[in-house]
Amino acid sequence: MILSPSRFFCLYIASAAALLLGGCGGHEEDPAPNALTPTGTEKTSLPSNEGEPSARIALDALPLPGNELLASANDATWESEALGDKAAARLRSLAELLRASETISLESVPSWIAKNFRGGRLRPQKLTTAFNDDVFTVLRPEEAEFGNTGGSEYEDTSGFLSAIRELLEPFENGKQLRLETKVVRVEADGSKLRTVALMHLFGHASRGNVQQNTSWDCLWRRGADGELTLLSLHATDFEEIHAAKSESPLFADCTEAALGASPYYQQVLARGLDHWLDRIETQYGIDPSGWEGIALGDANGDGRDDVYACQPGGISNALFIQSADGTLKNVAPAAGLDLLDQTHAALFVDLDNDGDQDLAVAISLGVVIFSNDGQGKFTRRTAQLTPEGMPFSLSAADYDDDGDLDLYACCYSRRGSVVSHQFLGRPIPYHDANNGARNLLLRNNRRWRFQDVTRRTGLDQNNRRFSFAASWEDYDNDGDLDLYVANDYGRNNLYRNDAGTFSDVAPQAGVEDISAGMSVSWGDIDHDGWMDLYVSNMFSSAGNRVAYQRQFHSAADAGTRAEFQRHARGNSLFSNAGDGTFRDISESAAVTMGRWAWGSTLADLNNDGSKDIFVANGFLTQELPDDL
Amino acid sequence: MSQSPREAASLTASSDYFRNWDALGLMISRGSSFSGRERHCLFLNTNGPRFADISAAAELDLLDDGRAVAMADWDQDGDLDLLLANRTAPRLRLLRNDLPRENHFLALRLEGRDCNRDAIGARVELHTAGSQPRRLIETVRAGDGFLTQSSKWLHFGLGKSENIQRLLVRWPGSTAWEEFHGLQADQRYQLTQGSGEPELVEKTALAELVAEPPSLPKSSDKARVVLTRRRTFPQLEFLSFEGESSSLLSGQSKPVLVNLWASWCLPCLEELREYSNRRDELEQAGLHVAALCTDELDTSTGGDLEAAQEFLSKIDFPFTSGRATTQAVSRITALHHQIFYKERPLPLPCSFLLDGQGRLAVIYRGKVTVDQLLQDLPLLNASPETLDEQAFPVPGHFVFRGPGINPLSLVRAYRDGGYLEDARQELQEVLANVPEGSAEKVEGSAGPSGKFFADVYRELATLEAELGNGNASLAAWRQAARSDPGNPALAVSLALADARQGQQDEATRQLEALTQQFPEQPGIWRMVGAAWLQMQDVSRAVEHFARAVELAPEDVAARFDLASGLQLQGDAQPAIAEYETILQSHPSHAQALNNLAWLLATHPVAQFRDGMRGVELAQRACQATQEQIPVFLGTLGAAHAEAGNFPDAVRVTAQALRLARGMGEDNLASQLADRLKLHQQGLPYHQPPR
Repeated sequence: MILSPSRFFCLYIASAAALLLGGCGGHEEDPAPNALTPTGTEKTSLPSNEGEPSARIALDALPLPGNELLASANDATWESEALGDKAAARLRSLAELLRASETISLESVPSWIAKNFRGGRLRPQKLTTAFNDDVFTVLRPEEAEFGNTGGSEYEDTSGFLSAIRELLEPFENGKQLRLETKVVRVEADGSKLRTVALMHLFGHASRGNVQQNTSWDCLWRRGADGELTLLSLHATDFEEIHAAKSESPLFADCTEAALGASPYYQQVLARGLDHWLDRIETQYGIDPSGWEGIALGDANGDGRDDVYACQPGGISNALFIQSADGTLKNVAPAAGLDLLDQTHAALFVDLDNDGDQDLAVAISLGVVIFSNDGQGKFTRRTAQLTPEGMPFSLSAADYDDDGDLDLYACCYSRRGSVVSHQFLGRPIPYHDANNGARNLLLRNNRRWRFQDVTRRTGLDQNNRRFSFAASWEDYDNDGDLDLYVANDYGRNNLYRNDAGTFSDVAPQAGVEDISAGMSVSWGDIDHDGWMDLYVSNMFSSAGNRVAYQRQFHSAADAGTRAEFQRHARGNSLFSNAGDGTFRDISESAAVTMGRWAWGSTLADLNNDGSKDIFVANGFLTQELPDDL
Repeated sequence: MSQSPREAASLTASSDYFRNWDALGLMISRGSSFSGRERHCLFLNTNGPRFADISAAAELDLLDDGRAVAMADWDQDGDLDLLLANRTAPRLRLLRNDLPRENHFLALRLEGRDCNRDAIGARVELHTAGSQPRRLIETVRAGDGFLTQSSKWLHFGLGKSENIQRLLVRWPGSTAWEEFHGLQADQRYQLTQGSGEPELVEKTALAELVAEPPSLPKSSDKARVVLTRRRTFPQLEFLSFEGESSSLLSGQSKPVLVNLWASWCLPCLEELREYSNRRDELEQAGLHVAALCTDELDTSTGGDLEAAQEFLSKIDFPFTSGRATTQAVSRITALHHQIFYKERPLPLPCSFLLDGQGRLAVIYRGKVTVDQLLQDLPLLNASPETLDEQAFPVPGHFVFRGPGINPLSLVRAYRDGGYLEDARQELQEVLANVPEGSAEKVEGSAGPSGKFFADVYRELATLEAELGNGNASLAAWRQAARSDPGNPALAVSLALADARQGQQDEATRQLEALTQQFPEQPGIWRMVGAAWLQMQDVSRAVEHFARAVELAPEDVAARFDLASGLQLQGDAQPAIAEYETILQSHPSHAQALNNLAWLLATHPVAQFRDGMRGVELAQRACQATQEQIPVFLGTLGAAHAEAGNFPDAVRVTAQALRLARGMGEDNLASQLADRLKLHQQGLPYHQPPR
């Protein structure tokens, strides 16, 4: 995925200058004491430091062609976005108040809390334990007792302060509190403004970490000066998590111990991609996307998983061999796998059934196949050109049950469709694009020959989408592997396998998931013997704000509006009903807000036999603030 | 408000929609963030309808720009650890799962025997006993998530239950379930297809890693970038301190270091002072320096030209110096943006090392010392390999490093996939974009571009034939032959195309012309013979093959042609004689062994059949090819059947069939399937009588 509807909207609605100054979106987290601060601010200091440059020549002082483009970007306005930003800023500024809530006096309650403020409880009085395994305790309100927006037992600023103090009780003191807010609805009505914000509060208490996930429904008054005053506040949803106190982190960062001694790690991976974007010529295929994956497999047959780490063009890929002590050493040059080609993904699979792990690598040209000699030395056998676009995710299956593994390669944008900035596609139409590059099913014809059988197996159906990821699974328990494909900018595919011939049954199965699909993960979340499906998409606050307003796409039909709204919803969880269809339980299961999600996985992290969900996310953290 | 267009046709390159995408890309390349600083999420399965967001409580809410998420029990301690690939540093992160281990687990590695060895697609079903009996399912997968492959080990969390009641595996390609017995919780096992017995796998991860946050290098703007491809440096106008305009590179044939500096920039001053102090070394090395002062560009402070000039005279700066114009800095910046994805403002100081032809070779951001410059000067004459070593942060090799993909490769890839129309369009684009001046080469005699166009037209001809356009195909063959007139293979192809279009006389004329033109070349006779074979005139083919053998009696390939021709013609006796001749000199000629074995096994006339000898020959053919050629195995099966050994006939034919299917040889597979049925009924296969 690359472009959120929010940004897409913003491009239309805000001037370029406003975008650069922080038009849509804005920071969504306050700079709490324990939050990381952005790095890479411009240097203005004079002292010489190891030959570091001391200043930069600003681009806007120069007549560069790009400047015109930025200046000419559409400058229509979207008033509610400015209001949403204001509300978000108000809510974020609460962090200071929360941190000092124990000692704060009535007089120092900010003036933007109305004197005649009315609100309900922010933390329910009665909480029940929804889960407790001695590590995590999940508390939720007793049903019907909470979330009723009518409650207004807290009046005026003192009431506001009481509600806040009650909310913060479990944190013991708010000094270390971190607050994050995402404003997801904005409705302006004359002098009134209603916003809905997702609030995440986090802090450390003496008995361990405390996290609150809640949703605030706020009513504001818009003053003549445009300033917002909070008239009422109601929590509509609440969840509180306590983690048992632990001497060490529950998930221990062993990066340094595993990789610190590797010169390759120190040289290459210890630096972010942005470092290399400035130092490697673009012509070799390096862009800011960070779409470089990893493959785990036992490359040298010693019983331990090794890692192949894909890299952008100009940085050679690494084959990290895991030693018995858990440390990693790059042996790619000796193994013959130190490719400098731009690489998105790779796969360790035994393609010739000789008992070792061969390697398929998705490089700019196509899919390159290396055979393993059993000792971890690799020989290039063939390169299958993917004619329409660069391959992304790879996944293997013996789709025709002939005893050898075949390969499916996702392709994203068409090679010919890029204009100047290679990694951004040009989807048409944005929310249901059908101008991507064709994916390929490569049939293993043995002896290192592969054949593109996409068309003859029926997989060319709905095959012009922007595909990021695919995964094989027997969703209908009929003994063969079916294929789910996650596509950016629109609908996904579920190809049902009928004896080696496929048909796209995504619509009737209820898993089209029109959205910005980026990742596919299968797992049985409810122990019913049928594989369920989790798909990464993009949760966009701005997209939610804009797409739910009446003016949005006013000329378009309700269907298009709904599709845009769906685009901003976030991740999807589909429960397999066992009759060939799935139920979309994303919202009831509360797993949509995976932010700008990329890789996600259904995995049982606490060994209790039930699949949890981990989501890696975040698109581009660069030196300038998060204002796109 | 603009809307996303619904149809590509309604778009032009300059439409608002595309322009906004370009603007977005530009903002990103100029360093704007875009949904950055997002925190990773962990949703806990509460065994109820709703998951709980415990990201922060579990402290898994990293701020990385995360991408791939791979799961594996890295330390083999019984829980799943995370290996994450990031856009931001560190680009690889290993997070060890240290949740208190109160629950039980089971880890399995599967090995297929009748299916793919990795057992990808195998489904495992585990039933736990205890107060909460559960059925857990897992599938062996290769590739899921986003650009990720997780470990092939299957991991089962068992909760409080230690008792594995039942474990079943459904291997790929099978609908039956195999049960494995005797599995204990908290162990790692290998399950091998058909064994029914789990094998314990010893722990191979032997030490515990120390947990500590990674120490990352400080970000730095200082850089030295060696280019692998030189770019022409723009012609720059600059002003002397007195305001006179001059051109920087006119008449320059020595390497130059173009340096941008400002009087308020301390490292700039240090750098220029060093150049001045070590002028002799620089001059001796043949490096000239041009220091352009950027003070004027800083409109906010107004800069200080006087201070700059004063500094230069104080250090007695011996090289070219002057005032950088806005235009000059813009041109350098624009060139810099062309080379790198990031459109960052140029830092001060920064320097550009140009070769004697005025081409940019090395970029220095931040201070560069004279030592470094002297060390880098030889790069101006270095080999591409040396430049690569300097340019890329770690050594490596390219699989593909062309500026673009050969269009014919694209065409072939489309054809391979059956996308014939796309292949044709691609070819037409190649032909439509013929560079000016090369058109007459298409018509005229052979040359480098003639050969290229011969290739293009040959592809087109093949494609048109596949599309069923015989006349278009013929026309393309004619073009191909004209583009490369000395190529006999093209002439033969053209003749065949003529024949297919019913122009038999023309085809004959061309083929005869070839043998007349090259009467002493056995290769030509063989090629033309093969053409006659394709044109179904077997006797004429045999005549040609015989002539080739006459011309080159020692040529095994020619004799093999002749033998096969005779066999096709039904002349069993002479065919056998020719095969025997080949085998005398080349006893492991696999094709001759196979063809002779096939004749002996399946000839319609009983007197020629000899099953036992057929088995012997076919076995030799199979051995010579590691039993990997389905045709040869099929022959062996047929020979076994002829010899009355039906169990072996069935076994070997089934093996051939599996292999043929595996190789995608569908026609062969269907023939083998028919013969397999015969052998299963205890019948040999004989060719129909002529």
